[in-house]
Amino acid sequence: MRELWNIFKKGIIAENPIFVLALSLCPALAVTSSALNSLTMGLAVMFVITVNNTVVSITRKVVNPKVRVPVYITSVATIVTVVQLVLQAYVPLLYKALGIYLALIVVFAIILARAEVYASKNKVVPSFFDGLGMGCGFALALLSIGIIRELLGSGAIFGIQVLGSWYNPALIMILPPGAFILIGYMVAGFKMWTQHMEKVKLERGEI
Amino acid sequence: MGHYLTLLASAVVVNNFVLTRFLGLCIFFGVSKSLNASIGMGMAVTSVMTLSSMLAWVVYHFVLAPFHLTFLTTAVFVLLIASFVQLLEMIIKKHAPTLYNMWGIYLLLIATNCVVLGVPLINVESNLSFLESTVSAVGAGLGFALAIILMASLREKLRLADVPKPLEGLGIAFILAGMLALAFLGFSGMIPV
Amino acid sequence: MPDENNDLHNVKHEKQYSIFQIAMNLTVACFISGAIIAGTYFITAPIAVEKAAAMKTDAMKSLVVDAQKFNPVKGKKEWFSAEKNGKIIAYVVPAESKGYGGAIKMLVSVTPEGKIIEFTILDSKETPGLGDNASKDPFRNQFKGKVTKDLEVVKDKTKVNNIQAMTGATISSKAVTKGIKEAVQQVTQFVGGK
Repeated sequence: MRELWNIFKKGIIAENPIFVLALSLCPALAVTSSALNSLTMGLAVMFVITVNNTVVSITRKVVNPKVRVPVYITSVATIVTVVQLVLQAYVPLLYKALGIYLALIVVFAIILARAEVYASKNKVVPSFFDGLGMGCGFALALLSIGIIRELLGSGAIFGIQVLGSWYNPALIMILPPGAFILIGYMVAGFKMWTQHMEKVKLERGEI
Repeated sequence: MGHYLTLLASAVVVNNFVLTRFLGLCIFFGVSKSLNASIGMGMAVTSVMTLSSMLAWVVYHFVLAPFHLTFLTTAVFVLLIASFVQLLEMIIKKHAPTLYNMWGIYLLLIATNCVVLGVPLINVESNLSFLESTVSAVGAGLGFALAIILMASLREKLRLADVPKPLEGLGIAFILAGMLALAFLGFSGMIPV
Repeated sequence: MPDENNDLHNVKHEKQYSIFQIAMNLTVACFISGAIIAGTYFITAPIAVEKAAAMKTDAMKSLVVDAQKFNPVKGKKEWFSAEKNGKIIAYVVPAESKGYGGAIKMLVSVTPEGKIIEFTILDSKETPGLGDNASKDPFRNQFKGKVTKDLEVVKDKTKVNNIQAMTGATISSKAVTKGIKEAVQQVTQFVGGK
């Protein structure tokens, strides 16, 4: 049980797809102009990566190693198309807001990487948690970026006006340059924090 | 003629695929560490984007749309482009080794990449004709090349600068990209679409 | 604990695969994928269509609050007439114009006499915080009840009959106004020609 928790945890902090591994950054800037869009995208990716990891793990003994990359791509494409169709039917406004970036989930390096590096070589349950952890880390990263951008860029979070009219929104936050700069600082901040945690652990003798 | 030039200019500067539409960031940050690699990558991306865009357009308009299979667009495009790039890499490696050494080595990196998949998808969404899609794809590639070459030149200069430790590497690269994006923001509204 | 899967993997790597086996493997995967996607499509497609139609009716209802029924207008693509008690009280027409960042798509409701009731922006790429505010009050409210000759963008605050431009978003203001004006003119033409 402890094992599974560790597998799950590493996707959130130590190997956070966005802040540490720097994979699949495109959506991180594209959809995070609003917290709601970020959450939807984050959940979608979490779903895709978890299901894909599970599928790849289940079929790992049947898939021919020479075609495994095309087969993984097929698998991810199927899952993403299913998500697209379901969103289009039940929440068409969110589907429109995400646009092509939803379709682009298919080529996320993080999904293919986890399938290749972990799921194809491990059992189903650990693979499931690995995917879940990575997906969760991704979603949390996206959500935090989205909340900051929406808050500073329009004074609202999830559409609810938080900062009153005294606040003149920093429009740049919802435009591309703001996104880049914010993430630059967040990456640096993340680095500083993890280094600090390492130092603390070292001092406590945990490492 | 003017229409196509507008389309081209729009894809290269006004709606730059990297700095405005956020596509191709992984390669953008990964390869922009070296200027030579960036030039090569720019050429590879432009070539792949143009060719795969043309292919995707044909498949969409002659196979997917007439048979009402448009819900398969994402899956079909991905597999199509990935296989096509693989094929292209093999052909170039065998028949044009000089070309291969220049930019063929980057081909497999962009086989499944958001910018290479994104351009055909955007073309389909905007309902462009064959010629329009191709021009747009060329523009997208050139825009990407422009952005990555600019970024690489800036990053080479950065090596001589004194960057605070936490910002080193990815952090400062992002902030730099932000400034580039800010500069490109000045192009918006230039071309009333 | 040695991972027995790795051993299996190593053994497999020594096996020689025929092209047929490789191709079959991929083909089977594609077939399964195709089946799953097609299945999902068949389940969700009707729901998506229904939702889209409902959203459209809702959008039109918000433009003509009193309407009881909407009917498509013959001979005019995407036009709808709003009916109340058997009488046409408004026309809901699409409008489009070139904005700052791209095409602005709108839906405008006009009375048969050529007066604007309301409008909504369906799609636009205007600058957030500047041109984007066209869909919000106070800019939006200005259009209520105006007729064609009023639809001119001015910066003079005393000309209350015209449309006041949004600060810092003249192009967006002009684009939206132009689109709406064309829509009103088309309705007047249509009604006059009947």
